[in-house]
This record gives sequence, structure tokens and C-alpha cells, in this order.
Amino acid sequence: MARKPDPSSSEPRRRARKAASLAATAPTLVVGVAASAATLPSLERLFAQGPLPAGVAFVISLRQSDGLDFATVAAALAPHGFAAEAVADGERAQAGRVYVGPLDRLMTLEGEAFRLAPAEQPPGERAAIDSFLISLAAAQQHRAVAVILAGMGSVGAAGVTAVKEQGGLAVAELDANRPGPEHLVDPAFLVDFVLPADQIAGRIATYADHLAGVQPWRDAAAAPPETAGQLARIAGILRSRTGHDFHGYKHNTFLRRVQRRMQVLQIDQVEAYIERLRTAPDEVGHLFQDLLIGVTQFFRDGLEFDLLRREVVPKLVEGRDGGEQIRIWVLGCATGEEAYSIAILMQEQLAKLDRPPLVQIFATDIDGRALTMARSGRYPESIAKDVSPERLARWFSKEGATYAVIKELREMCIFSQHNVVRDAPFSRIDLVSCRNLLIYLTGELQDRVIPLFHFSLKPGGFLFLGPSENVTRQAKLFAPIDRRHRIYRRLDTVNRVLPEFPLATGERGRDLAGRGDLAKPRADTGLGRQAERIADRYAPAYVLIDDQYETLNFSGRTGRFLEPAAGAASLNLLNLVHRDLRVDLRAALHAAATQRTVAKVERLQVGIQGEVRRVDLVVEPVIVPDAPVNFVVLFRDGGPVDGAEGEAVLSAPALRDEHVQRLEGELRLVKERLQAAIEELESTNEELKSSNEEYQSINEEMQSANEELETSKEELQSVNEELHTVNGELAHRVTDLARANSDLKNLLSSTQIATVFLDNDLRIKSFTPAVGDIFHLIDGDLGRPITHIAARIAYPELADDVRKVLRTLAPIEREVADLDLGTRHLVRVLPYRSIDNYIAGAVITFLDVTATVRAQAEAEEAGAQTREILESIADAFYALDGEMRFTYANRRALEDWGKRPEEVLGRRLIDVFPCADQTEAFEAQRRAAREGVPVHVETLSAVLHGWIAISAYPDASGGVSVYFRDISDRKRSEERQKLLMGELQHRVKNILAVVRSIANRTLDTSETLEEFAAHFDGRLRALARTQGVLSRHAEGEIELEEIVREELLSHAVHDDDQIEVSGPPIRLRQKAAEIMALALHELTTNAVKYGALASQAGHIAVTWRTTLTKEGRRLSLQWRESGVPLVDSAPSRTGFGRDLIERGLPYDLGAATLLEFSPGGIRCLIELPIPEDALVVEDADTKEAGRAT
Amino acid sequence: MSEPASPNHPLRGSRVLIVEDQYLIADEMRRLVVELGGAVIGPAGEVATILALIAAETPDLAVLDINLNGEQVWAVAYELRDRGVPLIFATGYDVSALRPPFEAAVHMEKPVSTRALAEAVERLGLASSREVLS
Repeated sequence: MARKPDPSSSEPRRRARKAASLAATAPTLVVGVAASAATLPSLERLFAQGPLPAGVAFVISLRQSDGLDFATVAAALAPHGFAAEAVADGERAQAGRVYVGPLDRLMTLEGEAFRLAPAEQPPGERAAIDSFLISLAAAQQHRAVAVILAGMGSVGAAGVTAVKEQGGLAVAELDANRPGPEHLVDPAFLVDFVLPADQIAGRIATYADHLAGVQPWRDAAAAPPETAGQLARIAGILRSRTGHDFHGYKHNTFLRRVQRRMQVLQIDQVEAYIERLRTAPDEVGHLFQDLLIGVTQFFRDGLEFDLLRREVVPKLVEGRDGGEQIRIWVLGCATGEEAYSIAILMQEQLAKLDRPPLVQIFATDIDGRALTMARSGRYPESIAKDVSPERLARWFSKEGATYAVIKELREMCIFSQHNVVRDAPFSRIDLVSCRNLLIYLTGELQDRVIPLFHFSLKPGGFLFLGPSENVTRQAKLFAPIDRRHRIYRRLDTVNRVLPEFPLATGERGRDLAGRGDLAKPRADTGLGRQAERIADRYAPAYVLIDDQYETLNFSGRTGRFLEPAAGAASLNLLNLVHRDLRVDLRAALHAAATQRTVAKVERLQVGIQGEVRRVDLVVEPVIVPDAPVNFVVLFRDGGPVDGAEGEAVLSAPALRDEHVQRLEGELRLVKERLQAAIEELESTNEELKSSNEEYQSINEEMQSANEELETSKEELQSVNEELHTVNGELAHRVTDLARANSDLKNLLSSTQIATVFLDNDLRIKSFTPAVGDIFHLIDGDLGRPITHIAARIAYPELADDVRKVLRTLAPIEREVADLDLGTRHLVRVLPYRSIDNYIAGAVITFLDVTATVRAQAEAEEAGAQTREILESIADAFYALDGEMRFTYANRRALEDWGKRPEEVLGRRLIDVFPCADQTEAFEAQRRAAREGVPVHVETLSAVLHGWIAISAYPDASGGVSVYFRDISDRKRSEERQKLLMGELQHRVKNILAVVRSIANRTLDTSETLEEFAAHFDGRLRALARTQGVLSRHAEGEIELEEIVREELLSHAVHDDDQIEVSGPPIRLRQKAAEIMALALHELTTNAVKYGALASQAGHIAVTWRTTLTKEGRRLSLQWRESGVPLVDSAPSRTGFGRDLIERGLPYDLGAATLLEFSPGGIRCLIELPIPEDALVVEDADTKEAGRAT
Repeated sequence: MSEPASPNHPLRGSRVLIVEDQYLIADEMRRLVVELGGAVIGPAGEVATILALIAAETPDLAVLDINLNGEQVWAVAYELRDRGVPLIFATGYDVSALRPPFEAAVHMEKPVSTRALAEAVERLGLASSREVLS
């Protein structure tokens, strides 16, 4: 049936294929390795064997609940020349690579592409490894290999099952510490090979090699025609070895299973495999095990299960109480689906009851390894097609891509290895489910198994069979309640049917020695024993008696010589012996006892059964030191006595006929009694037989119970393990709790906040030491109501507050001031919530705030003072916080800005005054805040549109305090000052220039130094006078009259008779005043020297007036001298005065002048334009200073 | 006090416009110019008069007061600059009174001495008058 590899071509072809697979990236095999932190050394050993087998991709799936991560794996593999790669979503597996699965996501394989899905469950509940292996099996089928490293517990059981079901290979690491087979949750009991880690890679390579050479058939139709016959032979071998008949097994599946075994064993030809089956009993087991995989599913045959649910389950539960037990036996449970299905049905029914009975499901299978999967209770996602979503949700927890049955269900089921054909059945069962098992059994075995079920079931119990099974062969035992769906009810039979144990036909299984004896008594056919029996027949009869002649032992056939006397039963030989022998026996015994020798009495005639026989008596003492003497009495039959002799004998007893008669009467009586006794004995015997049967049955039950106990023991062990773990965890928690408790204690003692814990009745539960300041509390007060304790502070509302908090659950906070002590406490009353969030009392805390309150009051007062000061100062003041937000601004600042407080406070400066950005003032404040130094600047304010002096002082909190003052006025006056200074300087320089000019002119017209000195001095004085008067008048203007009078007075002319000065008040500006003063000085000097003032008779009239012409106002001044006796000719050396009047005044003032030397004196007319405001009128405001050059 | 005549009359042949609103100072300036050998145009103290003088005859040099009876001299200065006339400002203000574009012009503070005028003329002579005024 295998494609025979052509020896001439197979090797090169294989090599070529190998090369091709190396070149192509798609792997020929994908190996899923289940690894955890504990298996890291194994992982290293696995990869320590050099390069990977050709064409193989390794995928390391990590147990996500422990610390092993990609980096660790990569580091472990690197020294062996492997570069581990983290799996990426969508990536295709490639040959020759080593992939490592993620820790945080769920890795599956679709075709050759990895899929990474977000994990829905926490690590440890994702079944990451099983999920991956199941997807690997589905994706790669026979090209999938699962490797389970030692020490992973039950992880991988579902995955290994899936891989094997799809025809792949499963390998586990050999583990010296692996527990015995009773720990049947370890997937290593499911795998094909258990090898040391360093041999696994080699095994995979061999498998890959073999796989490359053999193309498996997926279908029986594709197989060569002789295959059918070969498979039938295999089934035959299985039947003879296991008693299971697989002839009816699905052909394709059977073929695949056989092929898988061939692949595992690297056998190419079916014939070779058949040979292997014949020679290696183990292989029968392996094939048998494989055949049992995957033939079951949840709620297989839905209609039957539906009927079971409707008809049977309610009857099972009916009338059962909480204390009772419902026992269900599921045979051939394989990987457990059927057992869990029934468990689900039962649970659903039980859920309707108030006090549900206990349900125990014994799920058994011939193959303990299949039970590994059943015990793990983990199934691939594909079960979703068999199980309704409601049931999935209720009875399974989704872990990764697998479903695990919930604990409740798992605990209902007890899985144990059991061969119904060989092992004793379970008993007192309410429901036996034996589906699709009988079909594998031969008819002979079925005939034996069905009565077993009858035995196991309670009266009225149910039998649930597979769709193609029935009990028609045993119609007396079971009646169908629904023939179509193969559910039967046990019938009570008159004869208790005792099953035949054992039923075994194979060589495997437990040895139930001794049971065989019950069924078949052993034939006693030994020749020796036959000879003995013959010898016994010829040996003399004897009796062994003690010294009191009580019989100790009879030999065979002593009956002829014994004739028990009537009356009470006795074993005394003298009473028992034939009456014809009695006398002689007594004499012989006496002789033997006294002489301790053998005593013989020969040829005694004894009437036996109507004839007289000759009997010899021998009595021989049996002497044992230090013990009473025993005797052996031998009866030797000497044959019948001849007639004469016999007559003689008969005649002799005739004398005692009467005596005989009596004795015979007794004898009859005794016989009757004996008969009664015999009958009684027979009946007792019958009873014993029946008891024996009972005991047998009980024994079986004990066996069953024992098996149950063993199963339970396993469960208990695993529970014990769990308890150990839980205990360790609890111990850890207790330590944590103790530490937390101690922390809490320390915290409570160290805290200065007085705290009292009260229960709902206001009794003190605990308190911190600081409470001593509040209450007179001692440890002994625990448990006393708080109201009984005297408080040191005045807080009469305490009890009311606590009750209110307990009622409303809203915390209360109040400040309690004790006026006598001057203390203030902040009291908080809060509800005490226990961890399960119910109110278990109240917590009261007392915080001494005396100092705080005082400090606060002082601070407030100081703050108010400060504010008052700040409000009253003339400077504007404001404060900014670290983010340049206004925290305060005094009234002056607000006035300057024209803002209301709410427009600035709390807002950022830059938001309030956007125009201030990047101004010098703003930068100054920022710099002060940033550098922590006071900054003072005077700058133009963009906010106030004027000059300000601004000072920014940093404060401790990163903000700044700012003073500013509007200095626009000062700045203006400074400007004016500067201007005035410039003007003053200008005037001084001008005057100096004038003085220089005067000096030069005077020098030109003076003939002597004295003359120069006199003239220059006079002119300088005139100039000085004008300046003096000018300096007295801030406006820089002088009244004309004042100039005139000053000039005249300077020459000591104060005789009002000689001088007349009159005119309206006129103000002259500086320039006009200066030159007018100089001109008047010249006139006066001339008058003093030569004119009107030279004599007492002279007179001078200085008069002026203003006139309004069409060019504006003009001033007309007339200097007129009179009474001068001698009018000289025009003065020759007064060139300066004349020049000044005739050219200077017109040049400077635009004046028209006239100088006359007429008889009587000089007349001088000066007419000049004056500004309108030069005429002094009342309230004339002529502030504008005249600008002189 | 008459100053000794400078041996080399630097203003010989030059017609110097004197702008000054105060008679005594203008007269003194006239004396200085004459002393240095120059011929005087003006003096004059009113802008209109001065502009008329300039229109009639372009001077070779001008000595300008800045403030003329409250009137500023700048209109005159611009006119003279446009005609390429070198300028000397003689004023009671310090040099800061010169405003652009005349801030670099030659400046004398009153009272002006012969030597100061001679030096100012010399400075004008050293630097090209065009450059100074451009």
C-alpha cells in the first residue's frame, strides 16, 4: 500500500527535494515548542545540537504567565548559532528560522502566516501554548510537530491531542522527575516519543526526512487497492489483542491513523507495519490509542442528548434529596466530551432544585492517556460548533483560543482508567452511558458486557447506548424507553444475574487472580492423588483417641465399626464403637494404657449389615513426652465368618434380644434426628452459598469503591497541591498584612492628629496616643462609649455629631474653640467604612489649630495693615505672581490705569495690557522675577503714555512687587530746565559779545585810558543794571519807566524838579530793553556832562506814548532837554551814543530815530513798533517770554 | 581793543555775508571780517532782507547767527548751501544747536575773537567747502 520507493531513484530524489525545500522558504515542517521559564535549560539543550533539520521552522510558544521573554530566549539560543526572531503579525513562517512568540498577545498560525491577536484574558488564563498548538495542527496537519519540554504541567495536552488528531508528530522531553503515570494530566503521556532534550532535534529531522519521502493519502480512495485488505488485517490484530473490533471504524480515519503511526515509526510499507504490530505489543497499544482520539464530541448525536435531557435526567433527579447521590458511569469517555456533556445536562437540571443531590460521574476509558486530555478539560475553539453559545458561556471559560470547562463541571467528573472487558464494574449506578463502545466489541464480548451493566445499575437505572448499538441480545435485562434513540431501562429479573468476572481475553490488564476459581472448579486429576485414594480404600480404618477415649480423628470408612449409642451425642469411642466390639475394646484399651504396649484382640465376630465378620482390634499408644497418652485404635476387617461360626455368633447375642430391640429403637430415633440435621445442614449450606454470592457482589462493589477511592485520591492529591499553593500564598498575604498592620500602628502612633475610632454604638474601638490631649483615655477605655469619657475640650456636640454622621454618612467638620484654655481644634467626624464598604462606625480626628489660627489672624492683620499702607501711598503699587498674574493692585495703580479691580486681579499682565509686551517696563519686571534682583528703570510707559519710574522687587514665591510713579511732570520740567539753561548760556554769551563790541567801540572813541575806563564802566553798568532788572522779572521783560528811572538814578539824578518821566506802562523785552537802556545811558551821560543836568537850571522830560497805526502799535518816546544855557555844537566824541541811536536802534528794533541839537537842549525822538501786549493792561497775561538774540 | 591785523589776511578778496540780528554784535563781526581783509555783505538780521542780499550777490562765505529775532536761520542756510557758499555758524548756543544737515558745519561760540574767526576760516580752507556742506 505504501508507494514503494524505488531504491535506484529515491535517494537522489529525496536529496533534490531537500535542496528545493532549502531554497524555498516555506517550511516542510513547523515545530511548535512549548516553553516556560523553568524549561530554559531544556530549550538550550534542544538547540544545542547544531543546525536545524533542513526545511524546518521552529516556533517557540512561551507560557505567558511567567518571566520568560524574547530577550532571554534569544540570549539563550545565540551561543548555539540561532538568531531567534520575534514573531510579527502576518509574517510567514520560513524554513530554517527560529521564532519566539509574544508575551502579550495571542499567537496563532493560519496557513504559514502568523497571526497575533490581542489577548482578552490575563496572562495565565490565555492558554497561549495550547491555542498556538491547536492552530498549528489545523494549519500544518501532518506537517505539524509539537514539542513539550519537561516541567510544564498540564500545559499542551489539548495542543498535543490536536496535533496528533491532524496526523502530526508529538514529542515530549524525558524528565527524570516526571511523576508516575498516576499523574495523568501531563501531556507527555499523550505524545509519540519521550526523549531527552538533546535527541529531540534528531528525531524531528528523521521525521522530516521520512515525510519528504512519503506522500500520505488523505483518502482511502487514493490508496492502492490492496490497502483495504491490509487494514482489515490490522483490525483483526487489534480485535485479537484488545478485544475491540475496528472493522466498522470509519475507513478514512482508520487509514489516516495507521498512516500516522507509520510516519512516526518511519515505516514505508503497510506490510512492514503489520509485522511490527505482530511483534511489538506496544505498537498495538499506540495504534489503539490513536484510533480512540477524536471520535467524540460534545453532545454528539444531538437528538439522543435531547431525549436524555427530557426523559432521563428529570427521572434521575426526581425524588432525590440533597443528601443523596446520583451516580453516572460514562464508559469509553476518551477525551471527556461526553462526560462533560452529561455533566452539563445534569447541572442544568440541578439548577432547578433547591437542595440538589450530589452527582458523581465516573468517566472511564481503557486508555489512560486519552484521559489526560479529559482531565485537563481544555478543548479547541472548534467545540463552539457543537455547544450552544449559552452553554459555552455558562460552562466554559475562554482561555486564548481554547475553552476550558469550569471547575464546577470538572469537579463532578472522576476520570479513571478502566477496561470494561477486564475490570470489575462500578455499582449502584443510576445511568450508564456507553456510547459507541459496543460497536468495537465482538458479539461474544457484548454478551458479557451487557449483563455487567445490568449488575451495575440500580433497579430502574438507565442505559444510554450509541445509535448503532442495542441490547436485543439481552432483552430480558433491559427494556427500551425509546428504541430509536437507544435509551434503555433496567428490568428487575427473578434471577439475580451474576456477571462473569473476569471477561478478559487479552494479556493486558489487571490480574484479578482467584476469581477464576469461582467460575470453574479446578479438575483434580493428579495420578498420585488417585493412587492415594485407592490406597486409602485398602488401608485399615482407625480412630485416634485421647486418654479419656474421646475421639480426636477418624480415618475413612470407620462406619462399619462404629455404632453410636442412643442418648446424648458423644465422641467417646466406647459409646461410639460397635456393641460387639465394646467389651473387648475396653479390655484392650485398658491393657494398652497400663502396659504402654500394643494390645491386640484378634478374630472378634461382629454383626455388620446382616452378616458376621471377623474383626481384629489393635490398640497402640502414641507416646509423646510430657503429654497425655493418645491411642490409635485400628480395626482390621478379617472378612466374613463362615456359616457355623456365624451361627454361633448369632446365637450368642440372642440372649440379649430385648436389649437389642431397645437399642434399635434408639437407633431409629437417632437416625431421624440425623436426617433432620442433614436437612438443616443442607439448607444452611444453601444460605451460605447465597451469602457467598452476596459477598462476591459486595466484593465487587468494594473493588469499584476502591477504584473510586483511588481516583478520588488523585483528585485529593491535586487538591492538596492546590491547597499547598493557596496556603503558601495565604502565608505570604498574612506576612504582608502583618507588615501593613504594623505600618498602620506606627503611623497612628506617630501622627500628631488625635484620632478616635468609634463603632456604631459610639464605643471606642481604638485611638491614637495624641488623643490624650483631648480625652482622658487609657487603653482600658476601649469598648466604653465615648460619651462616658470626660473631654478636656468643650465639645458637647460630639455625640450628636457622630450620630448625625452615622445617619447621613456625610462628614462633619467643625472648629471647636475652648475659651478657657484658649485652644482651637479642627474636628472632623467621618463615617468608618470597612473594606466591604459598610459603615462600621465613625472616625473622629482632632487637629490642634490653635497656633495656626493665631498665626492666621496675625497674618491677616499684618496683611490688612500692609494693604492699608499700600492703598495710602502716593506711588502706584501692584504685585504679580510667578506667572505674571495680578494678585494685588493698589488704588493709585488702578486710578492710573483707569481700571476696576476685577479687570486686572487674577489676570495676566500681558492680557490686561497687551501694549506692554516687550516694553522696557515689562522686561524689567520679568528680569526681576527671573534673576531675583530688584530692577529700577525710568521709561516711557506704553500704558500711561508718559514717563514712569518703575521699581520691581522679586518676592519669595517667584513673583514681583512693583512700584511705579508717573514722572512726566518732572521730566517736562527737566526738559524746560535744560532749555532755560541753554537760553541762559546763550544770553550770557550774547551779552559777552555785546560787551566785547562795546569795549572795542569805547576803545575806538577814547583818547585816554581814564576816559576809556570811565565810559566803559558807565556802559557796562548800564548793561548790568538792565540785566539786574531783567533777572528780577521772571518774564524777562522790563517796564520802560523803570529803565528810564534806573538810568537817571544811576547818575544820582533824583531831583524831580529837573526830571519829568511820564508815559503809559510799557513792557519791553530783553533785547529791546538792553539797547534802549544803552541808548538812554548815552543820553543821560551826555546830559550830565554837557546838557540839562550839567547845571541846576536844566530840565529833562522823558515822555512816551503808544499809537495804533496800520502796521500795528508803535511806541513814541521823546527825550527833551531844556534850560541848557550853552548849546554846544554837536558833540564830536559821543560817536558811540549817536551811532547807537541813529543806527543801532533802527537795526535792532526797526525804530525810527531823530536826534536834534536844538537851542535849549537835545531832543531825541525814538519811535518803534511794539507788540500789542507790550502795553501793560490790567490782568494782562503775558507769560510768553520774549526771545532775545 | 583792536587786534593786530593778521599778517596774511585770510579773507582778502572774499565777500563775507554777516547774518546777525543784534547791531552791536553784527558791527563787531563786521570789524573782524574787515580786519581779516574781507569785504562785508550785510550785516542783516531779517531773513527776508538776507535772502534779498543773497539773491543780489552770492557771497564767498557766510557767518550765520541762528536765532534771528525769534526767526530761525535755516531757510538762509539752505539757500546758501544750494549756492555752494561755505558757512560758519556763530551763536551763543553750543554746537548742539546745529541741526541736520548742518550738524557738521563749522561752529563758533560768541563772543567771537579774531583768532577764532581766522581759525574757522582756516578750517573751512582745509576742508573743501563742498564736502562740508554736502
